[in-house]
Amino acid sequence: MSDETQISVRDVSLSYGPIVAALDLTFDVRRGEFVSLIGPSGCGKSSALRAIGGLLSPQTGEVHLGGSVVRGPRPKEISFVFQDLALYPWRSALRNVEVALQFAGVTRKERRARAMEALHLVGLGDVPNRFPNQLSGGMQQRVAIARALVSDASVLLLDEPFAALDEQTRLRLGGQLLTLLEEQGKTVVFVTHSLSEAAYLSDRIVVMGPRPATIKEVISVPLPRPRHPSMMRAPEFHELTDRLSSLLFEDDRGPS
Amino acid sequence: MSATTERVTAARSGRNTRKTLARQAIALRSATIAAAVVAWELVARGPMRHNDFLAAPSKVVTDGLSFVLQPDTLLALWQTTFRFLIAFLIVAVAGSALGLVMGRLHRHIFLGARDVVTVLYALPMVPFYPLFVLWAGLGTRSEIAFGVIHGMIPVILMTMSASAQVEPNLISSGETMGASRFQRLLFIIVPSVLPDIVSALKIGAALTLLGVLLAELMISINGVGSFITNQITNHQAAWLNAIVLVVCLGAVVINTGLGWIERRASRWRT
Ligand SMILES: Nc1ncnc2c1ncn2[C@@H]1O[C@H](COP(=O)(O)OP(=O)(O)OP(=O)(O)O)[C@@H](O)[C@H]1O
Ligand SMILES: [Mg+2]
Repeated sequence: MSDETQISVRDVSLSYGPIVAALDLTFDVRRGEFVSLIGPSGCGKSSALRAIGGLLSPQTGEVHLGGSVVRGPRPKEISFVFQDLALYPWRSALRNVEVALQFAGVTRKERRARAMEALHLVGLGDVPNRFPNQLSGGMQQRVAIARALVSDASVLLLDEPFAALDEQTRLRLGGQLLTLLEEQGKTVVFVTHSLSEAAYLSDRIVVMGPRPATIKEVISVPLPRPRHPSMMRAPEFHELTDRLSSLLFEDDRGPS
Repeated sequence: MSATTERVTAARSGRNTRKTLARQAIALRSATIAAAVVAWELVARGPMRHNDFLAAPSKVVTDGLSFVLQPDTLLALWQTTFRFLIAFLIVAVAGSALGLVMGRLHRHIFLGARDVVTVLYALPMVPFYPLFVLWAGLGTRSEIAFGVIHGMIPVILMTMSASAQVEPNLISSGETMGASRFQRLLFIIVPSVLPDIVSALKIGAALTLLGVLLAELMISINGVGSFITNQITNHQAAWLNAIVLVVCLGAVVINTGLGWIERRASRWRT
């Protein structure tokens, strides 16, 4: 990770018509850094990610990427995994991954080989020809991740990519993904509901408050890299997850 | 006997039961159709034997078949088929293209356009046919135009509704991967509405044929419709029924073909 700031979110407020989705978000992400966004459901995490990805224009404030203001999608620099995955159900797993390269103008032969390699990386090398409706929820999520990894973009925006998995698989796959991303030097903004996942994978964690989202705190994770599963038994890890859960439950005034 | 052989035998007998069931289903369906034909034969030979416009199936086949194979009849059938094919080609290309684009217009323009098309769909077109004849002249052109107008409107309506409802995130994901506007239309919107377009074309085909036949029945000098009018005036029940059967047969062929394409196109939908 370098000290250079790659993504800079400045006083960003987001809304859908009259619905305010986020207020005055400000945070930075350094090149090669892994930053997680956590917060209660509906607080605006996905909206914040869409703003970084250029899919949602801020009402006020600006998002900077590599020094210039983001005004729309930047396929060469950012790849995106949507919360609902947005796989194309009429395309096989392999062709879903290929489509990213097709839109990027890569030749047919090269994209077949690269897409196959990306599927192998996420452990789906054996089922390239299955259609999304023939894959389990977790396998679909991995196809979506492969589709994002196959491009050369240096920034990866991941919206709850492991939501369909059980805690063990989620942490195991998260760890594998982390190794992969470290090798490729990718910058990651990662939305999750799982506190242990955020703690295990991230360099920093942005904790958001309830609707409309404001940033409550940005926490640096005190664990060294590379991460190892045994670190989840370290006292620092438990202190961190305790702290996160108390931050999140602070506002929880019970069912209203 | 080992466990494996037992399983294999069980699987094989399961397959056999399925085959038997399928055979029974086909037998039952054919028997139902046969019963209907027999009933028709009995009614036509019994209580309705003095009716000029109902011929027994046996008579339709014996008299009618040779009639259908006469050069005049074949020519009329060809004229109608040709008009239908041209009209349907226009419906399929222009109707689905218009629908696709109209569905992607600004939300409120789309809703307004949909109102207009819905009203046109509800409107009976028959009273306007004389106008078509005045515009396009008597003959093939006005008949094709009448077929087109009948088939086109439901195709536009169904296609535009489907294209307006394409999952927004599928399109956003295309944008994040760098798809141009044209690529999004071709690789995201078209495939995601293709099953709806084929279903629309199935309805469109039936209505296009209806439009062409209506035009021929009303004001026309040739084609199946005008032939039917002639057989009614000549009291030729067997011939009339024979040509009606041929039209039905044609409709069934078109419908089966499009149904097959429809199933293939929507395989990925769950
Ligand atoms: N397309 C939309 N139109 C209108 N309102 C929206 C839209 N998308 C999100 N919202 C609203 O914006 C707010 C934030 O939504 P967002 O999806 O960003 O939350 P989230 O933190 O990602 O939630 P979750 O954890 O459940 O995914 C919510 O109040 C939601 O109702
Ligand atoms: Mg979300």
